[in-house]
Amino acid sequence: MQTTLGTPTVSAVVFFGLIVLLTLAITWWAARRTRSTREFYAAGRRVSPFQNGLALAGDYMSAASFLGIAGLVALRGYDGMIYATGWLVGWPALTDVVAYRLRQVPVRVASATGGILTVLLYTIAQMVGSGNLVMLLFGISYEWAVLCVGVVMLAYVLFGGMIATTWVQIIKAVLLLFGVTVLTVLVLARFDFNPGALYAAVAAKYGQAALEPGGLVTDPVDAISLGLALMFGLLGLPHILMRFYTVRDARAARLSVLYATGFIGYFYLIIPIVGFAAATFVGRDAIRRIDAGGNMAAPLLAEFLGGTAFLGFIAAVAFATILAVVAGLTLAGATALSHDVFVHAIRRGHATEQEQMRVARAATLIFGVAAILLGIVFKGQNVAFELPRSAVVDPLAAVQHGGRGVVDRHRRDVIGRAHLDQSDRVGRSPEKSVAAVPAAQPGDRLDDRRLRGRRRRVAGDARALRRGEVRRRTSADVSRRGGRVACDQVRAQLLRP
Amino acid sequence: MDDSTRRVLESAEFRQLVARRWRVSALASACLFFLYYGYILLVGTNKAVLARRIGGAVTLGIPLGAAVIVGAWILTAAYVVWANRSYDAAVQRLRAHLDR
Repeated sequence: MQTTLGTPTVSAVVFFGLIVLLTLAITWWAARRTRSTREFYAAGRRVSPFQNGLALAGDYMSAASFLGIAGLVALRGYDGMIYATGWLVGWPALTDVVAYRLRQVPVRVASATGGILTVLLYTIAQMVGSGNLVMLLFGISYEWAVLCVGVVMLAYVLFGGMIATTWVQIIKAVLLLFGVTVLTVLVLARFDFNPGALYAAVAAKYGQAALEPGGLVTDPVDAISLGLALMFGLLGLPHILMRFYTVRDARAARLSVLYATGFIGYFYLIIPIVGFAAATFVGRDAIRRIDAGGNMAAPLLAEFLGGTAFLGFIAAVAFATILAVVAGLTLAGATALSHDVFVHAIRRGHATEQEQMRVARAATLIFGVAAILLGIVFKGQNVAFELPRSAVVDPLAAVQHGGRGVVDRHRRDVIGRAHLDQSDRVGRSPEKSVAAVPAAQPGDRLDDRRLRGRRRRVAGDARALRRGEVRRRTSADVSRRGGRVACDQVRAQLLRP
Repeated sequence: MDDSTRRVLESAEFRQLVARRWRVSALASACLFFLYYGYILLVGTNKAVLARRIGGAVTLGIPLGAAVIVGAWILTAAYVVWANRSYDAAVQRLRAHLDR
């Protein structure tokens, strides 16, 4: 079959232009709402569970999973479907782990997921992937593709912060779900809406083996390791974890996971249909000719069923997918850089709001430019489209870090909500304890003066502890003191107008 | 620690809440592991079952794969509904206690 894929057709450029214009307009709107670091990092915690569910789903339905799984199913049949099932299963595990353990300051996440290096490596992988993908889709050169993605993404994050990043992700998720749904309906329309007929056509063309598990998983050890990678790889995605801070409370965080798993589940239920249909209509050889990995199966199917215009739409959506994910990653990286390194390590927590905003934006710029340059340097490296499996263990350890017994943790969950968590001081080095006290931010429930006073006390305690003047606190001491602080805070919250 | 906090921490209600939450979490996790690892181990050890045809060319593996996705979502839904209705309400009651 003839394809216009790889040439910048009018429809592709028009759809792409429309998406970029729309998202930049939203960034302009969001920029007027982004005045404090609280808005920059966490969208002022005013994102609704439904919106956050869409944004989470958008982050997760990356170009890798959209194009990659459709391609895997097209080329390898049922084995691709095994991936699709695993992709969803990590989510339920996330429901409460995140909702109640990592809920202090948005920026804790970035450090919890292994810091800047992890985020940077993952961003480079996405950049390299985006360069290759845009090259395949639109036929522009690799360097221009990376530069183009980098500049637009920087505009979102720099000016619109988390508010813009969230809305860009929501728009993309809606467009992607819409595009894949249309694709599926067009496929099923050819088979009188009987999926069985589609599978019969696949079996007729490639043999029954296409619908049976093949060489992907061959023994129990393989099975377990694939399962673990797919399940916990999710917890290593910092831009996804950051989204849990954009909603109001744990209840909203849980609801957003429910919405997100709904969208993602729907997506992975229908994406194998797209893959099987691509194998049937476009053919495996034609798909491999364009890209050996099969990543172009879905766009090729779109062109076959809906013509050049539909191909343009799907290509533009794939591009938007990359933009949105890279924007989220850049925000996570900038957060780690500005908050963890500047505010805590360099300034020991003393930085004014304006200073923090300036540093946050500067960090975004540094991180973004580094990502663009490294993306160009790493051209041709096969790093794209991989789950960050090496980052699997770290975040889990971070989540379980507070493992001081069930009662202690639940006490904090129930009466905690404390911005200043005294019990974090047990068993930690004094330096870390100081870093664990969050910097005061306007709108925080405790007034700034009290929080600064506490910070000084904690720092003083840490020094005394180092000099050996006081014994290390036992957990009994802390739960006494932590209980009192929690009480104070609950009262302070209730007294607030 | 003042008396009201100690009363909450030592109350039977608080202990029961902690225990109940742990049980529900463990049960949900166990179901999920059973669901997903049951499926993936079947793929790893007994492909013949999944390759069995159940009507036309459709193999048993296709509806089973879909069932894993739907099942994972239903588990999530059940957990979220429990946590947001029953658990959060109990936490609110305890908070009210604490304030008194």
